[in-house]
Amino acid sequence: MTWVFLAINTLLIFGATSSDSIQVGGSFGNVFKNAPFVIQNYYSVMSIITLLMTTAFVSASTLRDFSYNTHQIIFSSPVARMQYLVGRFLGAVVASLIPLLGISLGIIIGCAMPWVDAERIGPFILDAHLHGIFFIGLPNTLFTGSVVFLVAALSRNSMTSFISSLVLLVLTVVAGEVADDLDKEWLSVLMDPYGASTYSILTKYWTVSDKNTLVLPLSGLYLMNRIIWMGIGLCITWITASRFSFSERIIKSKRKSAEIPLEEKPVQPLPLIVPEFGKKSLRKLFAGETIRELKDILKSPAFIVIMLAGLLNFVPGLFLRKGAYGLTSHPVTWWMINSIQGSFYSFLVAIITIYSGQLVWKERDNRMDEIYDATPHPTWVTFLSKFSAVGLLIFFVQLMLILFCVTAQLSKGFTDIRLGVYFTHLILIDFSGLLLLVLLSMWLHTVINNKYIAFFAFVAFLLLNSFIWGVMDIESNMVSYGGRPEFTYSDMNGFGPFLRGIFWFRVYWYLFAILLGIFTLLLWTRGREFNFKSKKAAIKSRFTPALKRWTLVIAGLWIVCGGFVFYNTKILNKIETSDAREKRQADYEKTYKKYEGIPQPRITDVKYKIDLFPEGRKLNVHSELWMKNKSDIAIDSVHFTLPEGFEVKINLRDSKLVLNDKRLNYRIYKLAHPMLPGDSLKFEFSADFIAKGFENEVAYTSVVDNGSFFNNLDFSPMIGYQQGAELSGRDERKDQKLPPAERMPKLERNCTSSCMNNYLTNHADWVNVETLFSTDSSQVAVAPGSLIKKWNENGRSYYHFKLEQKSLYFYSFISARYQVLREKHNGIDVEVYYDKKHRYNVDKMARSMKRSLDYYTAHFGPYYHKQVRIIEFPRYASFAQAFPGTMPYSEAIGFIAKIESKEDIDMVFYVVAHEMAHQYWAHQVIGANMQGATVLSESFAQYSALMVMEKEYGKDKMKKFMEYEMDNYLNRRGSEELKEMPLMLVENQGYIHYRKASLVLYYLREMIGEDHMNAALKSLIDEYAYKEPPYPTVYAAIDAIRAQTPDSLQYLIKDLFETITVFNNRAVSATVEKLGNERYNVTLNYECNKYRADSLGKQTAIPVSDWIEVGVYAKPEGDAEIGKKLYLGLHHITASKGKITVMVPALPYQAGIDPRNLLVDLVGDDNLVKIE
Amino acid sequence: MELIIQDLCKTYPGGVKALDHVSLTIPTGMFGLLGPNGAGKSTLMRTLATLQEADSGTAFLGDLDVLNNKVEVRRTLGYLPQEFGVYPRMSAQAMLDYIAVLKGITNKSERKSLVEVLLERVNLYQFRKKNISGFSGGMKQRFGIAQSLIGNPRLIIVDEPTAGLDPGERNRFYNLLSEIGEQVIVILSTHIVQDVKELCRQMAIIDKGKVLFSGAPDAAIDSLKGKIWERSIEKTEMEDFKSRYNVISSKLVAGNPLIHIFNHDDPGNSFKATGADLEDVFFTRIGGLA
Repeated sequence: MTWVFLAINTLLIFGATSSDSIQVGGSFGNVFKNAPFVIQNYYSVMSIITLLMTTAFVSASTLRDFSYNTHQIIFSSPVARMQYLVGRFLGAVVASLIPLLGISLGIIIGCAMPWVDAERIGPFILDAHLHGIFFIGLPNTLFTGSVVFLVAALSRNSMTSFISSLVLLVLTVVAGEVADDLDKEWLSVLMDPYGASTYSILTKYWTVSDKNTLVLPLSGLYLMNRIIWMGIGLCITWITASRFSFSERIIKSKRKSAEIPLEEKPVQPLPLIVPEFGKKSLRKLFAGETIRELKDILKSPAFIVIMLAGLLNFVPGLFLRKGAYGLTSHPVTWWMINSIQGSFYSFLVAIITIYSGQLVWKERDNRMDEIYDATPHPTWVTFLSKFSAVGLLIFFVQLMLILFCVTAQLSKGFTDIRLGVYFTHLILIDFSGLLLLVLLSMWLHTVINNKYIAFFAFVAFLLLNSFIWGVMDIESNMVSYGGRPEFTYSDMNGFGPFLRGIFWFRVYWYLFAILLGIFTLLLWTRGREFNFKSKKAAIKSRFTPALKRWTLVIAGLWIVCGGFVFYNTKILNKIETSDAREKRQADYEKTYKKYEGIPQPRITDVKYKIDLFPEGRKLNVHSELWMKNKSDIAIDSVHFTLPEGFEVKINLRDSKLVLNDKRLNYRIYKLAHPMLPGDSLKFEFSADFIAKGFENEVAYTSVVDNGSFFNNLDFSPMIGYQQGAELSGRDERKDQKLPPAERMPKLERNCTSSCMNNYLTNHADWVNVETLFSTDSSQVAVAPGSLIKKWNENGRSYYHFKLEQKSLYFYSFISARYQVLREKHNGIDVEVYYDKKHRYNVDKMARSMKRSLDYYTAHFGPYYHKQVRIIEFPRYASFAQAFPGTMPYSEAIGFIAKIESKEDIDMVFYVVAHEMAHQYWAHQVIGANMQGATVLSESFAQYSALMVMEKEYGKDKMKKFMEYEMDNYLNRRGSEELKEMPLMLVENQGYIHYRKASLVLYYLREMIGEDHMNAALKSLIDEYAYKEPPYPTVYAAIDAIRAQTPDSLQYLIKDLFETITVFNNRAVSATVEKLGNERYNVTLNYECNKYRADSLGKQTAIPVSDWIEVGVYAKPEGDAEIGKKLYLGLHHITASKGKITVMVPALPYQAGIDPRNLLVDLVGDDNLVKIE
Repeated sequence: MELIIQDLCKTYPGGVKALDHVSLTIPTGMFGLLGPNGAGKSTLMRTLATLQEADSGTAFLGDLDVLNNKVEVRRTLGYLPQEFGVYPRMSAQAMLDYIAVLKGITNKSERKSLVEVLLERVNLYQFRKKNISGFSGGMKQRFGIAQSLIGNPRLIIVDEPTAGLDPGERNRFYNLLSEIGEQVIVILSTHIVQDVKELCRQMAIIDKGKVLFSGAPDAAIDSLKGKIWERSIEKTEMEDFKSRYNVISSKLVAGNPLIHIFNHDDPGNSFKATGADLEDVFFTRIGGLA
């Protein structure tokens, strides 16, 4: 057994090492395949995964004597008891440690494979392997083993041992969840018996280079953790071994009845009762049996323990779960359901796995089978009652979960409870799916007729069924057992377009499942014949003519239904497997990349006529566009890349369609008269979408019943070759034999031709847009610009919108049943379009828009649109996005965010301010398509939002916000996929252009002052707003900032923008000296280390010559974290260690270097020290 | 009514012939099926109890085709398997009630009174609320008999019911069995000769799947009259005697083996004639001597 597990582990890790599609414990980004970090992680994760294995070994070896009934023999023999037990135990621990060696084996073999990218393999580091085995594997196995040893010795029951290890697992998970709260990290560092979260917390700021080279040293908290848990393990072992009772346990005397003789009594005749086997009594029998089985499960300790473990995992989350910036949500129903799926369903599947199998074997396990099978009950009663019992069990569990959720909702004062949603989601969809699993499991147990192999087969099936079809390139729900389209419930759009497909796939699989059920019934083991051949007679007698007829009918229905599903998913709609799609994308690139960058006309003016029919999910677009030859040579043909999912017709006068590649969606029109430089040409297109039947997976959720949200690029033919349509994943590109893609073109300082496109579109610059938008009269439609006219006709509403200011060729169209909040602010319409269920944060949003307008118009320049709109859209996506004057915002984020206490970070306010800032940073000034482009849009939007936020909430609140930004940046840079870039060269990397930029720009503002900072930004607006190409690069921004930075601080430009610079500042100690007259001298001992990091995070210390803040604070009052500021000043620090003395006017309490954490600091919480 | 078994054969996948052309006629009353361990008794019992399939042959209970009409057979069957377990945490009363449900006794009050009578009958009434898992071996077997009596069976099959019982328990169990074996067919399998001798009017001896004898115990004993001889020997002489005589059994009496041999006439050599008993029949038959 040990060797089998060793083989399995080796294979698993070998797979993870030699291929990117297998992952153990998540993806490690750009880290070496055999990096110490990866090795230690594998040991961490695997020693938890193998928990059950350890349990099996230890419990089997502890219980061996009991299960073979040899305990009387063994324990009466004169083996020294301690020796015997400890020997047994250690043997089992070693046996369960051996399989873990498969990790090292797998990595070593995996790295030797010729197909593994040599760049991804680092040097062999023995230390990491030894560390993994002795400091992770051994203590963990010993600890698990000791607990199981104790439980097994006490209970003498292997089931109880398994349950105890399950409880261990849950405790570990809980420790991990507690760790999510930043404040309690040290606690969870010690609390995790397996050291996995300890390890991940201590390494969370490791850079790629750290991960490649460092072995986490066994010291500090980590050492403590290992010592504590290994110690606990040894203690438990010792206690068990010394207390373990050898004597045959005396069965409690009350339970054992003394033999009583059979008295000689006149024989009483048995009452003559005629057994009944009519329909009615069989129905009664079936119901009775179902209830009996159900009660048995409910009373079984394993069930109770699993339920408790599940609830322990699930219930706290209902109350404590937090999202970004430590915020919680209004407990809307779908949010509660998410909690269930995330934290309870795995337990439910465990219950199904155990009990659907256990019930099949119940009679045999209890050796009741001969009596049971010889009684005259029909076999179907046994099978169906067991099935129904497990079914009812799950049903009740689901009801209970709903009850928990509703209670949690009510306890939070939330009353908008959607019982219908619970019912549809948890019962109609989820429960019906779980039932299919129960049946499958019972079928496997019956067919395989070996309990353990069947358990294994079921679990293996669950795993395989989830991915094997993708690997085999058949991505249809018709082949993956119980398959159905994925779906997302939205408060706005309900179950929307998904239900129909789900329904038909369910019908299809239920018909199949009935056949499976009949098969199970026929093969059901009754009596002592187990193989198929000898069961033949039984099958024959069970397969009555009536059942045969039914089987035929069901099979017929199944085939018909299958045909219907096939027609809908494969003929009316298409299933494109991910392989096929990747192939197509690769072919697009291979075939047409040659046309990239050839001179093409650019769109200048657009008119749309859009007719949306939400109920039928139908969209008709007709558009007239003007395009202009902005190049200096004549253009004789126009290339189009067509959008997917739309029926597109293009009408280009005096042209000939010379290439029409329907598969790759590429067309070339040859113009009869070439467009000369400066010429304009009109073309028209129509694009139609209509939902047909139902799909295998709902592909396009942008046109729906309530909450349609699509943008112009969704349906428009795009001029020229589109780099955006290329395959982007590194591994996918390799599979398709494409060279690695550059994330972004290289930054150039003086560019002309490479700066002709901005990073959003390559075939338009600033365009005029006019839209005639019609929708159902119950809905409100929004298109870019001002509403000129609105009217109703034939039960439909018509809206005429016109953009008053040329804008980027990237804007949205939205239609839903909205409530609208309308305000006027300095002549600008401030509007929030929201669903009536989500009123919560609407005022906050409006307020943020107004505050943003105030700040931005005062500091950056005029706002050119006549309106600002926030528009809610369904949670098929969860972002907020800025279009000209319009900011769609997902219902999943800001609209239900719950910001109540003063401590909370106002994420809604922040996101709105950020999107508002995009009205300047992106929609007025947009970067050329090259490295650093997103500094101009995302980073400056981030800075702008910080300023608005600071004005509203004050500097203290900003510190908390910045902590999250710092945490996020430091953490995320460690899982960088390719290279961490300096801010200036950012390649659309979120953790850099949002998170790092927050830190950097906020710090820069502190150093050079808000006025200078804003003056720099304003100069950018003045020079580049709405300017035709060439577009500005990040150099424009840096030059502007440099111009506003005093000479003494010029070094900051290099530190903040041009390089990756990190600090490790520490307040070592501080002393105070009273000068009398309420004056004190405070002397601070500090350390200041400054590093430059390369793209993998490899750090090199560099000399310090920086202006850094030094602060002294009074004793905090009440709950405050920090006291009154007594001194805060910039000091020129030039050594990595030193002393600074300052004078303060009151009794000081704390002193520190960079006390406000303005610098990117690897360890931020040691910058303040208590004064001695 | 008789149970007539003809030419029943069963070979296990491993090649073991469990039943080799077994033919028996079993009348009403107690019928003993005697054979050593592994003789095929349990296979025969389970086949009659609808739990196993025969390869060939027939078995009829009156008109009822036992092998092919399992549903009907189960309605008239009481079966006590050689070994059985019970559900943990279940009382005798609850368990009997449960089996009564499975046997089609749907009326709750009828069931209740039936269970009470049965418990009285096997003298477990005062323990009806106790868990069966705490019962002694004899009590558990009495419970087993009680459950087999549910549903007025015409055919009762008890497989090795006395294995593991102490003599007192065994006696009490005999009494119970003999009470019920008046109007119905009771087939009792055992490897203990005593059981058959005390209980059965008809019997069969089987070994290695073959019927070696069937008939009344007395007839069997009569057939050996004057052919069984005994003497006491030294332990060291055992091998010698085994090679010279048909030694059918030996038991220690006062430390020395007392052997029984089968011989048609006086073997001399200090052998004394002894009255044959059923045990001698059993060993003679199994040894293939008569």
